[in-house]
Amino acid sequence: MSENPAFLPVRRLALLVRSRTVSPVTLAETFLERLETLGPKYNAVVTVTRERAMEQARRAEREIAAGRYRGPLHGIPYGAKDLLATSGGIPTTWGAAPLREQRFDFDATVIRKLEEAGAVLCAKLAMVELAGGMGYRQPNASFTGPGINPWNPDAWSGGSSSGSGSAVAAGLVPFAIGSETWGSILSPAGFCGVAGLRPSYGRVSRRGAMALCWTLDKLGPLCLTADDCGLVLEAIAGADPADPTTSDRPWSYDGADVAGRRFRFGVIKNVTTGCEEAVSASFERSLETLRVLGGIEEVELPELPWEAITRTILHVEAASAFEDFIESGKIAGLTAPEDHYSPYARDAILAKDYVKALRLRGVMVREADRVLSRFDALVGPGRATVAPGLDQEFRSAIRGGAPDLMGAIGNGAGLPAVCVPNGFVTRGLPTSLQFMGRVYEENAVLAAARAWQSLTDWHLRHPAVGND
Amino acid sequence: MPAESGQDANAEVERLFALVRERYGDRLTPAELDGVRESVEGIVQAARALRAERLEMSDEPLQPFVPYRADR
Repeated sequence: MSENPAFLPVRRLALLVRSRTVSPVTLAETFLERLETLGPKYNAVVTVTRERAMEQARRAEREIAAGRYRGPLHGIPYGAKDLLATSGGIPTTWGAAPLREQRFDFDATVIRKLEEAGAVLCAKLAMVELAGGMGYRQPNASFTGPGINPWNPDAWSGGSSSGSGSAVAAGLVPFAIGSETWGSILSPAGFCGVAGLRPSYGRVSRRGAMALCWTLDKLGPLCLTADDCGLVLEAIAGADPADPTTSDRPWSYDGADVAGRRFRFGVIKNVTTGCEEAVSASFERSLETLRVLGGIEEVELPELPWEAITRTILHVEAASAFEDFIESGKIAGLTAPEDHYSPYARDAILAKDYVKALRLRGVMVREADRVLSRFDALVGPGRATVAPGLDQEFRSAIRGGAPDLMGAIGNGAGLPAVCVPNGFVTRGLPTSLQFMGRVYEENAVLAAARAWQSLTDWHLRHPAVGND
Repeated sequence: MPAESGQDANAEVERLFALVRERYGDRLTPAELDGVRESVEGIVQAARALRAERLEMSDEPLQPFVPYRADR
């Protein structure tokens, strides 16, 4: 094979695998070596799963040679955020030092589904400890060290799916699985300049995933392109009796050509309030390109404490999910100093206020659906800033330090969103654009993002990594 | 219902912070307690924003209780 597979999208790799131009074993060896040699450079990897990967790759090779091709993920390497349970003695650390020896005797449903699709698990990827649920304020919040951005080694890779973002951006895996409670897929995707898809709540089973907030947690892919996100989502989506929150609505990826399709985009009034100037400028330029694809209408949302609703629910559920860990004082063993004490404050949330947040969530979902029903997607900056420095305290809507209207509504209402790069600005770092859609309309946001990527080349740029 | 003033908010922060300090103060340094107080301030601010919204009695929590039977 003459093409360097490191930065080839899944769609292209799948063609090469299916035609037997490249073998799954060769692909696995290539990416395992990259994970082992380059992974430490980005603090991207917790465990390289070499033995399991080679076994899966050899099986894929045998099956494909025998004419039993399973689909576009067959023989494709990937990495999983280290909050997904894996059997076979592979640790599942949740990014937390006190849990670095934790092991499970079963595979999370997502891991199992990817195995059934023929994908090859090459690594458990680094993450912010406990998915950031304890209130971290700066990047050094994982026992594997701060996630380092492949575009600038002095910048953070984002979180909490830190390694999932940096590993895809650096070509260490063709795709990765991350999770989002509020921002944990869109942040690393945006900061690392890759595509990240937050599916609708309930689209993907969370069985075997660390629970941070039962009514907010979602699992989704990070890939080089929006198209790849659709391919991966199709493999992991679906109802699961082991996760009663999963939707039984069937879903398949519609990757049809979007050439000539006209889209209806909405932009929330003042959506760039609180954004860095460079981010706002990138977004304004993006709107010009989006006008080529369809109409753009400014929309106004009713005045509601959107961030406070989602934040209150998140804080209460996380405090309850980790009650034993917090009460026992084990949080003192976490890496980020602020994680040693921040969770205690959540005892100050009154039950009546929490229930009020749940009642207002009803208003939120109805308002969000009312607005979104008129559009293919709401568009906005993927993140309000470029990646902060490694030693920099960052602002966070989860702590109340920054506005994040789309994040609050998107996660509070369980809406799908895809984040894709839309420029490179300060310190060589990417900015990003998000498309957020009506619940269960992943195909609409993916189509919009594919159309965007058909007109732009930001996703074709890759950081200088190793000898590439 | 009386309006909630800034002074009331400070008093609420102090009362709730005292609760947290009573429960966990023995395991926290003065600097960490300052961090907890800051977090409590954010919690009270969010709570007051929620309380300011008027709802109808029929606006139920969006997390309905579902009765359960093992054989259904």
